[in-house]
Amino acid sequence: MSYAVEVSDLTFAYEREPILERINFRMETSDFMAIIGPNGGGKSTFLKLLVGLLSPKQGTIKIFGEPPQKIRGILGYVPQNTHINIEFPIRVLDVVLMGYHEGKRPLFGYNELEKKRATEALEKVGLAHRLHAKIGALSGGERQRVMIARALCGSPKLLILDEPTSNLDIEGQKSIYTLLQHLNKHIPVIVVSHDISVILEYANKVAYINRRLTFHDISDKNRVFHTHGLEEHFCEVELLQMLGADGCDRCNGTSFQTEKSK
Amino acid sequence: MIEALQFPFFQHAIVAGILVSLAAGIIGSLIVVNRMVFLSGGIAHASYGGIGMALYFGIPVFLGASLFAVAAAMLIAYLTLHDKTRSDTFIGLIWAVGMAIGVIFTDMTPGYHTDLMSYLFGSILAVTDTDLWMTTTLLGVIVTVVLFRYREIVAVSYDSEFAMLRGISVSFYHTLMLVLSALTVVIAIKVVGLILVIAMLTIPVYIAEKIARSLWQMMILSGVFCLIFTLSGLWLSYRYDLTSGASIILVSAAALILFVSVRHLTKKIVKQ
Repeated sequence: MSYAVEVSDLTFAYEREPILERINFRMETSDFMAIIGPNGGGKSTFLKLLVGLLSPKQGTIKIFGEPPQKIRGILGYVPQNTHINIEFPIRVLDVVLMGYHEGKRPLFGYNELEKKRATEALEKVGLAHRLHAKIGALSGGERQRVMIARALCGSPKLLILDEPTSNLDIEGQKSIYTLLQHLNKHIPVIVVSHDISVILEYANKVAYINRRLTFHDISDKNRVFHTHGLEEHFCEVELLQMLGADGCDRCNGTSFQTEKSK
Repeated sequence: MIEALQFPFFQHAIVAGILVSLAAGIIGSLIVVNRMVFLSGGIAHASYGGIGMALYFGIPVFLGASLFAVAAAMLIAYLTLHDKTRSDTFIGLIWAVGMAIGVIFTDMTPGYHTDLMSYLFGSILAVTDTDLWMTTTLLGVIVTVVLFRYREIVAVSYDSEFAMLRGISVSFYHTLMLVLSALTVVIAIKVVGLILVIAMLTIPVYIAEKIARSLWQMMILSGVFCLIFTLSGLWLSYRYDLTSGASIILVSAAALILFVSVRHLTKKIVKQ
């Protein structure tokens, strides 16, 4: 069987201590994969390895059977938006056109076909009417949609997003995930997220990364939380909200070891 | 000021003001959107080392300052790319060490009596033909590079991680922008001096950033604002016998305060 992503025995370290250790990961072409885990657990590093911005110290990464550096053109990537200057003087269309950079000639502008496709990408994310708006005039959710449109330029075969819903309210998060779910009808999607309660409603697979990686059966949310001690990262009230009004059917939320009670 | 235009030194000053304003508009925009103001400040002050060495070895000051500033820019680029967490320390070090080298070499220069203040605070009325040719050449280099690499520069400035994914060498463009900043700083030293140059590179840009819808618009607007402030400052310095560099900066600062106040008031009125 051919996989969209196949990672074998991956180990990575920025310095001596490994950030990721002996990671094995497979993803099918129809998957909507959520990657969860604590801060500093290696989630973003894992994505950077998948798109070829970092190279593994050990192990292999194959995207559609090829190393990521060879097929960057078919990867749609939405990096974390924390480093982006929202005051930057640039129009929405120009941000999306950046997705077409590869192989461009110097000096000359983008051609009409590229502009048409960029407009189509903006239509897909519901922002065709903001084509000429300055990026800073958009809301946080709209800006994330622009980043997704940029990632869609060049018709990617895999979409990878690093915390696309950070700083968005629940409605904003749901709107982004609904869009990703729609896109997932055509391409596999990998999303790193902290919004566990929301992402679990949309993803069909969940991987938990904290130096090591483990897969979860998405049908049992309680197990997702309990297996990896996720309860330790949230207070009781937050966990009850995540697991629904009934709380956890194993412990009913009462046995969680909470940050506040420690 | 019309009568002053008949003097060659004043004509030189105006041409220098135009050329430097254009360069400051383009490079100042890159400095601001890339949040490299402190880096450029470090380069500007470090270039004093080149001035001191040029005086000591008897080579043209413009050349000495350019070489030293470019070397400082490349060193800062290398250090900040390799250890971002310590970048402020490195910049501070290069800033101070460059100035110290300049002071020591100036001390060692026999019979040196040139007015050092002109390098620190500018002397636009002392611009020579050679200075103008050098400035024109450097402006030509800056415009050519930005014109031919505009898209890459925008991509790296806006989202370096995504740019890297699209195969653009972020470290190359980061270094290139710092080197261009170094050259701009050197040509602006004659106009406002190395201590005040950062204000010239940032104040017009700050105003333009609020109006422009693209980086190239921001560059042009910044250049125009910079030119207006430079000529106004020049007129003030001529009219009231003031230091030209400081006059230019104070005119810029006054315009900034006016702009911010009007903008704030307009927003308030619109909200009501």
